[in-house]
Amino acid sequence: MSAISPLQTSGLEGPGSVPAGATASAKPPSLLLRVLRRPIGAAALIVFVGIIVACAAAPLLAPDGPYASSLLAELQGPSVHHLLGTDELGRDILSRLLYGGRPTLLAAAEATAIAIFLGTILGVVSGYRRGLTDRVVSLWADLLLTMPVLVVLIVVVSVYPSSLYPAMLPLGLMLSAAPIRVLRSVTLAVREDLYIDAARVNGLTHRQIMIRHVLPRIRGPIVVQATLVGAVSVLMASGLAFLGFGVQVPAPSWGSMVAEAASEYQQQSWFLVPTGGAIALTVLSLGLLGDVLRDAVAEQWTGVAPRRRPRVKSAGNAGSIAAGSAEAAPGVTLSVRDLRVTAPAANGTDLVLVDGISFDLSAGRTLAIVGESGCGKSVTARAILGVAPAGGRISGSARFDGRELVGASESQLRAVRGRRIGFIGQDPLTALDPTQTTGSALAEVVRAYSGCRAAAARGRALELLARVRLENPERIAGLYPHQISGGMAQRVTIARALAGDPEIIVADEPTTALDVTVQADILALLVSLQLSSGIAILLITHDWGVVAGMADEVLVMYAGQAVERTAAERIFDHPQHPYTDLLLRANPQRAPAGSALPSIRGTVPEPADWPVGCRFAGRCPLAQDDCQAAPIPMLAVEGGHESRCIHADQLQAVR
Amino acid sequence: MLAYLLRRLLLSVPLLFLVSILTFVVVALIPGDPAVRILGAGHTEAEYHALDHKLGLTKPILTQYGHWLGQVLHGSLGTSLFSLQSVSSEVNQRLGVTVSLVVGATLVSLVVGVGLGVASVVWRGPLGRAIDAFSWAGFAIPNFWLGLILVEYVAVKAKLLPPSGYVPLAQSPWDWLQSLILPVLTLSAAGATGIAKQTRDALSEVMSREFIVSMRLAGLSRGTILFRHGLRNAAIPIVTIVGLFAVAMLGGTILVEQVFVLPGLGSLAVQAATDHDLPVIEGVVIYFTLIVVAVNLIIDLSYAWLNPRIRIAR
Repeated sequence: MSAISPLQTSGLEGPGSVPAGATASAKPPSLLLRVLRRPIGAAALIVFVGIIVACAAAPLLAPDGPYASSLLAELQGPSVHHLLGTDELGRDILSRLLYGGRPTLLAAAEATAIAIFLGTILGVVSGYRRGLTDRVVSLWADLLLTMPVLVVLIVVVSVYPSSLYPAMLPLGLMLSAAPIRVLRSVTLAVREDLYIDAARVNGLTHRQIMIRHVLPRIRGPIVVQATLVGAVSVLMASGLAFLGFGVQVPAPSWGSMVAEAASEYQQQSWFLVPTGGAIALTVLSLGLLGDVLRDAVAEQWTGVAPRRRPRVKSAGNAGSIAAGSAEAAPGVTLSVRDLRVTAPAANGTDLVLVDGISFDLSAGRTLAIVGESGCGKSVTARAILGVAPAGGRISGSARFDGRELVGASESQLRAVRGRRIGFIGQDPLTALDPTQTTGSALAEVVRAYSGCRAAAARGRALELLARVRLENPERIAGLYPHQISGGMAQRVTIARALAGDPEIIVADEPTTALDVTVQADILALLVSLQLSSGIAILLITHDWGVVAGMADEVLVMYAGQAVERTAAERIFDHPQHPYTDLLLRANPQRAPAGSALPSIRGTVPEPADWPVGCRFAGRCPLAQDDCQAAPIPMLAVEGGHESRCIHADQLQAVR
Repeated sequence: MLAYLLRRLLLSVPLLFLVSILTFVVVALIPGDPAVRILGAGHTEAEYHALDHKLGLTKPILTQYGHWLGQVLHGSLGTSLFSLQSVSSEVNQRLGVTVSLVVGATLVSLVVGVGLGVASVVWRGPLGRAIDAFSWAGFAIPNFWLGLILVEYVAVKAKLLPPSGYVPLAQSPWDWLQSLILPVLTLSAAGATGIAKQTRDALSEVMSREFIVSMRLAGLSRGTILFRHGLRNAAIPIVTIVGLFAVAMLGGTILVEQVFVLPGLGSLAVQAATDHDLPVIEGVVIYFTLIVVAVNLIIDLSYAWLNPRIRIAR
């Protein structure tokens, strides 16, 4: 029999991941109500309560007494007289199950009460006091987890063979390990809450704080643990009874009834069904109840129904291919036309994250996409390589070397990803597998691209590390991501992006997560790589300094759209869109010393709130009524400069 | 690394002490008197006292424990009060059965559980829900009941496998395997379903992490990403639960050995507990605890192998 439920371990994460700042401002519906609202929760609760009530009311409900036997009706199947049949002495199985549930359930309740009592006290105290107390309690819980539960129980039942109840004391003790661990981590989170600090200031003792402030808040996790420990206790109590411990023949109990059924199954196999079924049904209802309770408690902690972190997933073939609005210009490596990315929102409607982006990128050139966070820059960069947010769709066109990437199959995309278009992400430390050395990460992609042998791949990995100017490549190759600095890790991801000798590198804010001193080194590295091998770079950034240092062309994005596109040398002196203008003014490097740094009021609206007209109008100093009337098209200004603003002429006046 | 393992091993010493003292104290409280049981009904007072004295049962518990501990440190677990065989030989005879069961059930539940878990991440949807339902069934069905049902349908009705008994490996490997199939299946049901659920949770969490996306963007194949990187990073929670299930299944052997009439440590424990045979109980408990210690050591070793932070930093 298993001492662990499939839930107990995952239960460690559930209520443990309490947001530190969670406050109980609006009173949510009661836990019971939230459980009943879920069909499985309601069913499990009804079944469990039904079993308890039926066993408690056995003298009233049972059609027969537990010992009433009829020698004329032995080992019968189900009938009108005996709904669940009869046993080897002709006793009514239903009646015996109802009476037999009482010692089983009472014993389980005893073990559960002990486990939850100990688990709550030790868990709360160790989570609250931390330090030495915490370490000792954690060690104790570890010790309990490694005890061979059933063996210890058998030793104890042999002392008191006539009853299960004494054995439930050590069972409760051993089962308290899981509640200790879970309630400790929940308490740790609650402790961080502001109002417990406030309680301390108000002069309450630690004990008062634990009882008045911590306990009420961890009620939910305690109930969850109680159901799970209860389920395991029912299994244990009936297992002991099955072995013949703690039962007094002829008194019925669930476990011993299975043993009786086992000795008769050659004549009547039906007998096994209701006896084992009663145990399984009880355990199942408790386990499911615990599962639903945990979800309901999680909902209470976060305030909303738990939403999964968006999983980035390819739209694959789902992306419909719309005809590009313009043919690619000759000599162009990557030509993107009217690229759109949509993803399903929580309410089921499709949100447009990227709305018709077009640009060209030629060999040896750098295009910078600039904008605030939430404008769709990164989504655009990934969409080119066929990766969309969960359930998302990519449409439009991205032509690369004569192939259409939008709507291409996974294997067609794989032939391009890494091998011809390299990708460098924002945070190098999360971009590497933590269990893999940098050398093996590089050798892996080298082998995937070229199919060469391990030794050759390793040599190439060292070359790549040297190429990104890491000193002592042999040493770095043997290190894990957690052993190197962010700057070194970013060089490793650049080395990975170079492994396939790509024609294009997509760099998604490659310096944002790095120290200022390292940023310049990484950019200098990219520039020198471009000069030496003629790679085209698609650079996502919000840093004008980076644009000035690297870019040939600039595309400014706002709320999923391109709002301005021009040559890099023009943008700084002749911005043609108020958003670009304000972004430039907010740049610390360009602001006059000693004056307050201007910032753009408000924030980028969420995709669901994008207006019909100009999406920047709400934050724009030049906004007029006609801005919001209808969608604004990209307008040609002069010399290939384009802007999505109908009042750009006034911008000159303001400057 | 070595220090880490040593520290983990040191933790098992208090466990062995705790379990052995607990057993000793608890068994000493047994109201039934082993001397009476050995002598049977018709014995004289003098015979009784002589035997009681010979067994050392008149001394205080602590002295008895000290005596036992001295024996253990000299490599002996004492003699059974009933069979008068040495406890070590009696336990060693039965160790093979229990270890075969636990190792077999751990391997089966590991392979089946991880396989199902990975499948449910790859195909999601209906298979994921089916695995959920399956894991609830595995959790709720008592293994002794499952064992009886398997005996009824697979062994008795279909006559595919023997319903009970054990054949040592040395005697006939084929019969040994056949005698173990049903018990191992019974024992591994809960583990396989629990491990499947844990694998699904851990793997789908890992597959949503940034480095997985960056590997897709680097053009690595789905299979490489899933098995070489996803599973490897999800392995620690999976290994943790495998260890917990291995310990739980060790306890489960007691019930399963009873159902399939296997001469293992579990059935010895049940017999000794019924007979109040203290040295045998103590011996079985020590062996069980040693197996638990071994399981934990293997789990700790695999943590270190799986997580470079442990391997290098400590």
